[in-house]
Amino acid sequence: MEPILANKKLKIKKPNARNMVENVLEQFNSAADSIKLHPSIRKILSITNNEIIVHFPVKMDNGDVEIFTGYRVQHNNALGPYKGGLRYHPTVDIDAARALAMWMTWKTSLAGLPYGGGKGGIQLDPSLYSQSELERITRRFTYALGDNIGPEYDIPAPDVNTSAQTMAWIADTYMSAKPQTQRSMNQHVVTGKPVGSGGLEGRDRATGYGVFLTIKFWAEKNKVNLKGKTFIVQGFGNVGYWAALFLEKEGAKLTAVQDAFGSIKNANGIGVDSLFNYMQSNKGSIVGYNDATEMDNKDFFGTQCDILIPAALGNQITEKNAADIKAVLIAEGANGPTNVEGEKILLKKGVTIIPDILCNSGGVIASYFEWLQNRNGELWQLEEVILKLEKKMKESFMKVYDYSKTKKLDFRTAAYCMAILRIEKAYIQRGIFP
Amino acid sequence: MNSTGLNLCQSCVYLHSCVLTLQKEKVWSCSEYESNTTELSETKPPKKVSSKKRKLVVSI
Repeated sequence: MEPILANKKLKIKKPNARNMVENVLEQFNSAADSIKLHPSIRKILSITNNEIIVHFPVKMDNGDVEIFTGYRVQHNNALGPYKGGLRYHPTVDIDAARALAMWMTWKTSLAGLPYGGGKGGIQLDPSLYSQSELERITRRFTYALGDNIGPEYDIPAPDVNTSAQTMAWIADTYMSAKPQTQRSMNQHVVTGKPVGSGGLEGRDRATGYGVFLTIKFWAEKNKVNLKGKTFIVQGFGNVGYWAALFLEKEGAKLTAVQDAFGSIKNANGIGVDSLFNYMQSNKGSIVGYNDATEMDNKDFFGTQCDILIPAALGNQITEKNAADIKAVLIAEGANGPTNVEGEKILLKKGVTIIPDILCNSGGVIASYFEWLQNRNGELWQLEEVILKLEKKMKESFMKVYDYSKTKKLDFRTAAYCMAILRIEKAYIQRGIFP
Repeated sequence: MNSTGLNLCQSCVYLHSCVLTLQKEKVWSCSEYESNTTELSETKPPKKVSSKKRKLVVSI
C-alpha cells in the first residue's frame, strides 16, 4: 500500500537518485581496488547498517493534521557514532540519504574523527510551513526517531534548510524525553546548535578556514609563498567568503568572484570585507560592486590566477572548461565541483586538486569539537577552536599528502584510500562479532 | 564526489536567475542555495501559509 504523504502533490522531479548511490559506490570500489581492500570489508562497506523511515503526524496552525515522512540512514559505525546532517527538502528520500550517509563515512574517517557516517531528513518543502509548524514537525520527527539517534549513537547536524535553530529544537526535545537526571548529559545529541545553547564558537568560519588551511599546507610543502599570489572564488557564501578572507590576510589577492547573480573581476585585487559589505547591502549579490568590473560568466574559470576555489556547487569544472583553467591549485570548498573528465584533463596539465572530502572537512571537525565540548562540560574559546582545527586539518592533510607521494597517486584517490584504510584497520583489529 | 541525485535548484529562490549552472536538475549541494525558510530564526514571525498549498490528510 502506498504510504500517505503530506507532500505528495509537490511537483519536484527527483532524477538520478539511484545513480547517486551508484556513483558513491563507484568511487568507493575504485579506491577499494587500489588498496586491495579485504573482500569481507568491501561487502560490509557496500551496504548501509540501518535505514529508518518514520511517518509521523503533526498538527498544523489551522488545526489540520498532516503526516510527514522522515528518514535516517546509518551507513557505518566501525569508528564511532554515526554522524551526518538532516535536510528538509522535497527531494529527500532513502536513496539520497543512503548515498550521502556513505559519503559521510569516508569524510569522518579521513578527518581522523571517532565517527561513522549517517544522513537523513524530512521530505517536505519548508517554504510551505510556518515557523511554529516547522518547530512542531522537527520536535515530532525527533520523538519519532527516538533512540535511533543519541549522543553516543547517531549525532545529526544542520544541512539544507535546517539550521542552528532546528538543532536546538531537536536537542531540547531529545533531552526532554529523558529522565530529569539524565537530561544535561544528552546535549551532544546534535551539533551545529546556537552558541548560547551548547554550540561552538567559530563554527561559522570552520569550513572556510579549513579550505584556507589546506591551501596553506600545500603552499608550505611546495615552498610557495602565498603573499602576492592571486586567487578566484566561485561562491561567496559561508565557505567562499571565509576562505577568501583568510587568504587575503595571508597576503594573497582576490581577483575574481562569481556568485548566483554574476561574475566580477579586478586584476589589482578585490577587498574581501569590502565586497562582503557591499553584497549584504545589495540583496546578497556581488554584481555592481564599484571596485571591479563585470565579466562574462562563461569566462570565469579561465581567469588568470594561481589558485581556484570552487566553493559553490558540484559539476562546475568539466571537460568543457578544464583546459581553460590557469590555476596551478584547485581547492574544492564545494562538494563535487570537479567531474571525472574534468579532473583527468587537469591532472594531465599538472594541476593539483585538493579534493572536497579533505578540503571542506573543517565543518565536520568543528562538529566534533562541539560534541567534545558538550560531552566534557566545557566552553571553548574561539582561539582554542582555531588552534585545534589547524592541528586536526594538518594531520589529515599530511596523511593524504604523504600517501599520495609514496603511492604516486593524485590527492583524491589518496584521500579515499586513506579513509577506507582506517576503517579496514578497525575491522581487522576488532574482528566480526561473533 | 560527483554524485547527482538530489535536486536543490527547484526550491531555490534563485532558480531562474542563477548563473552558476545550467544543469539545475543535478545540484545536491550548493553554498548559494536559498529557500524562503533558509534562516529559521527565533525572531522571524510565523508566515501566513495558505492551507490550499498543502495536502490535507486528516481533519479533526
